[in-house]
Amino acid sequence: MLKLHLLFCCLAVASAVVMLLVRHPMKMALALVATMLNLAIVYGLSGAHVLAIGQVLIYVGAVMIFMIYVVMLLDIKDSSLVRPLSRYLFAAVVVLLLIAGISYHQLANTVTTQTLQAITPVGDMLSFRQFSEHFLEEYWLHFELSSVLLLVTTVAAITVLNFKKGTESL
Amino acid sequence: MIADLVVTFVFILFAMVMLLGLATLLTWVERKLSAMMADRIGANRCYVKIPLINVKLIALGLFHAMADGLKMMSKERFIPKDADKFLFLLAPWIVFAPVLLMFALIPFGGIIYPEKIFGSFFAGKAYLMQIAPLDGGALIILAISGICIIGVVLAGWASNNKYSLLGSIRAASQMISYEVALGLSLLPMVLTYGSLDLHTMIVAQQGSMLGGVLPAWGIFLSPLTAIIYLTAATAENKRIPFDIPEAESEIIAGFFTEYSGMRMALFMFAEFAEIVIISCVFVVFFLGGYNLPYWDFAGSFPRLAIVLWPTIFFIKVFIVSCFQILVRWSLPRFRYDQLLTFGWKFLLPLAMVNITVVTLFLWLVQKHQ
Repeated sequence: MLKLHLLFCCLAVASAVVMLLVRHPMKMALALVATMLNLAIVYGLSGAHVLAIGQVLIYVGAVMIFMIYVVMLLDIKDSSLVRPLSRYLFAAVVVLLLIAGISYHQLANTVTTQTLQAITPVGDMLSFRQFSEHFLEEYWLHFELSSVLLLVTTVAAITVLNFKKGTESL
Repeated sequence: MIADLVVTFVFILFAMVMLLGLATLLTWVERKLSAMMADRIGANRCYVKIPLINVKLIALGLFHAMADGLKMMSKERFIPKDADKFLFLLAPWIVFAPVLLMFALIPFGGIIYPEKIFGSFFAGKAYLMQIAPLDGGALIILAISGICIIGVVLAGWASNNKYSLLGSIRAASQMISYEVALGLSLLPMVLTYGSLDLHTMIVAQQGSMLGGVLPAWGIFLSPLTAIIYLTAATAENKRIPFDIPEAESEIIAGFFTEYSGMRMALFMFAEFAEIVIISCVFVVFFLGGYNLPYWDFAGSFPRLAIVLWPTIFFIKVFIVSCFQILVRWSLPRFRYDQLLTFGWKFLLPLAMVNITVVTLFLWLVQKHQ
C-alpha cells in the first residue's frame, strides 16, 4: 500500500513537472489533468474518498474540461509552439536537480519508513455520511452563500451575453 | 490476502467478459432490430463453413461481429499529415478507459460465501459481488464519466480537420450541458434510498409496496426520475436523437472523422459499452438490481444464487439496452440549438422540480411516521 502511495505521489510530481516543461497549452492542460488524477488516487489510497471524488468531479470533470474546451476553441497554431519543450529546459533541469538534491539531503535523515507509514492512514477514514454531517453542521452558511454567489455569476454572464447581442443588432 | 486477490480477479474477469460480450452482442442487436423495424432481414451474409461437410452456419448473422473485427483490424491505420500524433493516438483510449472503469462500481450480485462451495481456502470470508464496494458509488460513476469528454475533445482537436473540430465543439458543449441534468436526475433516488452506495440501493428495493401489488423498485417510486435519467444518459452517450456531434449528413463523422481501423472501432465500441453501463446504472437505480420481484430466490436456493444473481442482472441490462436501441431507431435527430434548448430550458428545470417534489414528499412521509 505504501509503495503504491509513493508511486502515485511520484507520478503526480512527474506530471506536474511535465506541465511546466511542455510549451503547448493543450499538452499543458493534459499534464495538469494527469496530476489531478494522480492526486485523486493518492487521496483515495489515504482513505479520503470524498476528497478523491471531489478532485476528479470538480477539477477534472469541470474546471479542466473548460480549460481544454477554451484551448480547443482558440486552436492555437503559433509557430513558436513547434518546439515541444521550453528553451530553458537545461536551466530547468539543473534547478530541478538542485532542489531534489537539497530536499533529499534534508529529508533523508529525518524521514524513515516508519514516519512515512505513520502519515499514510489506510482504510476507510471518512465515510460520505460522516463527511456530509460534519460539512453541513459547520459550513452550511458558507455553502449557502457560495450558491448565491454562483447564481449571481450566472445572471451576470447571461446579462453580458444579452448586452452583446443588443449592440450587434444596432 | 491471496483469497481476496483471487476473488477480485475472478470478478474483474467476469465483468470484462460480460461488458465486452454484451457490447459486441449489441452491435448485432442494433443491426437486427433496425432491420425488423424497417421490414428488412438484416445481417444475414456472414457465415462459418464447417470443414468437410458443406454446411454454412449463418446463426442469424451473429458472425457479423467477427467479420467487423477482422475488417477493422485489416484497414489502413491512417494519421493525417498535420495531426498531433501523440494526442491523436491517445484520444480513443481516453474515451474507452473510463467506460471500462465505471463497471467496477456496479454490483451484479449479493453477498456470497465462497467457503461453502470451494472449501477452506476462503474460510470465514464473505464477498459482495462488486469489484469495488465503495460507499460513494453513485458519485464515483458520475466523476469517471466526466473524463470521457476530454477524449472526445482531444480526438477532434488533434485530427487537424474542420469537421472533426466542429464535432468536438458540439460534443463538448452537449456533454457538459447534459452532465448537469444527469447528476440531478440521480439525486432524487439517492434521497429516496438514503445512500450513495449502489448495493444499499438494491437492498432498499427489495420487497413490495402498495400492499404487495408492485415491487418497491425505483421506477415505480419515481417514474419521472427514470425518464429524465434515461434521456440525459442517451444525450451523454451522443446517440440519436442526440447524435449532433457525429451527424453523418452534416459533418461526416464528427470528432472521429479522421480515425480508421481499430482506432475508430474503439470509439464505436466505447459507445456500445456505454449503453451497457447506462443500462447497468438504470437497473441498479430503478429496476431492483439483481433481485426478482415477489420471489426471494436467494432465501430458497442460497447455493444457486451465485449463478442466478448475475444472470438476472444481465438479462435486465440486456432488455434496457435493447430499449435504448429501439429509441435510437425510432426518433429523428435534434437540431443543434434545439438540443441545447431542450437540455437547459426543459430537462434541467424539470430535474430541479423533480428533486423539490421528491424532497417535499420524503419530508412529509418522515413527518407522519
